[in-house]
Amino acid sequence: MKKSNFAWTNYLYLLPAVVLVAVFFVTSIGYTLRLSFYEYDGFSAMRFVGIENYRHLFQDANFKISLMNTVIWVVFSLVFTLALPLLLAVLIKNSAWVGGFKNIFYYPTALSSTIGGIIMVAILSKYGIPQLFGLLGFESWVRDWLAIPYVNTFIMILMGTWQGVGLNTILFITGLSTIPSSPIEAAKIEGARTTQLYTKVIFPLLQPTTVVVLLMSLVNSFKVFDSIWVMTKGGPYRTSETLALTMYQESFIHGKFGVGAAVAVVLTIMILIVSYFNIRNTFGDTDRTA
Amino acid sequence: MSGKKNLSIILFVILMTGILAACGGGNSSGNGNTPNSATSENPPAKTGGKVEFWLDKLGDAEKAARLSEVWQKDSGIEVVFTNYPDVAAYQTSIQQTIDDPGAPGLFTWWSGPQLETLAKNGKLADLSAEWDNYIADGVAADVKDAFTVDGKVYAAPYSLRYASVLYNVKVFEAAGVAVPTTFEEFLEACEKLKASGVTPIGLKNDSWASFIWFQQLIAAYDPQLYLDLCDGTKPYTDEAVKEVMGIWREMFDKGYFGEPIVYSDLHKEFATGVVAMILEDSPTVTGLQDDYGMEPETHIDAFVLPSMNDGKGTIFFEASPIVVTEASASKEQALAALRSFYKPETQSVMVNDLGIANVSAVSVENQTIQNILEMTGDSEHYQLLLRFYENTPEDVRNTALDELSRFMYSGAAIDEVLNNIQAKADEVFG
Repeated sequence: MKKSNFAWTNYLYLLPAVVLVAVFFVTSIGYTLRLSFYEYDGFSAMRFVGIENYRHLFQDANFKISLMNTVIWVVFSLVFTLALPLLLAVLIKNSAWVGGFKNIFYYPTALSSTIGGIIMVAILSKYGIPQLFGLLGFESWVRDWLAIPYVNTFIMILMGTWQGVGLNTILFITGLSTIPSSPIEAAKIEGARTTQLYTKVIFPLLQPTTVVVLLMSLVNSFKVFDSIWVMTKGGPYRTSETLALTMYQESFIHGKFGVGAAVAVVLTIMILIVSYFNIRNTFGDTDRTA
Repeated sequence: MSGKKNLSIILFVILMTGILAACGGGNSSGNGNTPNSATSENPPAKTGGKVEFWLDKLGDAEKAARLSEVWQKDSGIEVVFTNYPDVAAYQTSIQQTIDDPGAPGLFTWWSGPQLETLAKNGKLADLSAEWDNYIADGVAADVKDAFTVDGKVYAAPYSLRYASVLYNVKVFEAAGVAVPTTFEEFLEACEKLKASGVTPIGLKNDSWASFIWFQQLIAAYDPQLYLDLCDGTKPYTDEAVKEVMGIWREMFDKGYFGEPIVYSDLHKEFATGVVAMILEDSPTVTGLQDDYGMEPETHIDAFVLPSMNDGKGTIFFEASPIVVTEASASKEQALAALRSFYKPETQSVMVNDLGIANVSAVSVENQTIQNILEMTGDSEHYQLLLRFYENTPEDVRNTALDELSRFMYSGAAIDEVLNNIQAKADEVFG
């Protein structure tokens, strides 16, 4: 009898979270999935169109560009927001001014992406940094950098790195601090060189932190929206759109909620697949190690 | 332990308050998006009630308050302004409230297909019978066509914006350039300006703005061609369209256009004389006067791009509609308030504060805007046409905006651009 009461109490504790998730996430997912099979402009009656929205998407050149841009964002963001913070964390951890450097590198993360985007628009517009290049004799560089098709995507990835590197660096520093000293000392006694120490001992022990950073960076780069919206609105001529922007553009700018929902479904499936394999591989390895 | 318990209770209350606040509030004006609102502090002149007016076009709270105050004096109805800074948030809020009695009585929308969608779904009040009042107050009867759906008029103008070539008077004087009266003179002016080290024409990099020079050049070639393209009578692959695109490309190749830049930079370049001309709407004149002290006629003036064939010059206008929500509990107050919107005092604020001229019977302080208005009334030399953005089906428009941007930014081939637009036009027009 006592055991039964205990179980109910546990479930009651879970209830608020379950209700929140059910109301705000599960129903939204179900509604979005359903909407992706309808034509709906927000005012007229919804009309069932089967897989027409998906067919339209995969024939649309803008969607293909958007898909490609999303892949570029994911790949480059992973490289930059994984490798760079790891390097910075190692350097900061071994420096004499850990607290100071941590604050300096974390500061851009404290800004919202929107504010960061607005700052970048000012800095990268014709009368910002490009003017300096003009003074150095690079006249052709004096232009609005964010208005250069395709190049602007890479500029925005760098901006994303600037904002994203701080948090990941902090996570890596924390991860490095939790590594027990005995395996490192043992490796040193065994005569391991510095590179070997990192590649054979420290980085493998840092794997749980790396997984968290990897997953966070992965999901964030898939759903990046606000900074791009502020900086280019996906332009010029939709060349810097990612899937999150295409979803917004189709739904709220073009009033095609069915098409927007179809983009959302595609984006969700992509994130789920990548996350699933990532988590399975990583924790599979961990389980085997354990 | 009791401290922890109390903290838990406080956190739970905060959480539930947040949830209830998010779920409720359907009748509140802001809809959770915290747009800025403005209303007159004075009590209504008559006991005419109150109506909410939602819009996405008036971010300046001070000007909104002034307009609200004067409108209230004219109508006796308290008009509460709620401005949304973000278009998507605005559209979503309208969608969510439009069937509710708590919906705003008045709101601004977009003419063309977007107005048609609301009208055909019965969301808007029929204003056909009201239009005699608006015309009597000086609204041009021709504007009615832009708001007509299936023979009924569903809107009145919130803002009529006329596009003309704004030029920096000092730059023209320094380069020895006179206002062109023929298209050849216009091209000569561009050449002279370029030779004097000035960028003749500035462009803004807004993704929607690529149609501006396209429509102006097509209409300069043949206004009927423009109308035929908009309604699908003629294809974009027509030889005449290719010829116009060729002229546009040549103007790019000769360096008459600057690189598309952020609009705030463009205004700065125009005001400082880096750029000589911009093709913009009338409220831009007010903005340039406010921000850079460009005095009408002394620093800034306007002309209409001359016809290529000695015809009338074309002035494109954007007609932003103000509509009355059919389901709103304050529909009657909205209709009454709208009846007074075109009274001289209210429209005086519109034109002198915002640069928006909706009626002819209003005294305009800014002489450059006055000059533009005089041109719009000079039917012997100029004709008014609804701009491309609202004048053609959305799908064709969206494709055209992307393709014309490719033409402007990347020098995409004329045939490729026109073929792509026509492919979409074929789908839409059948």
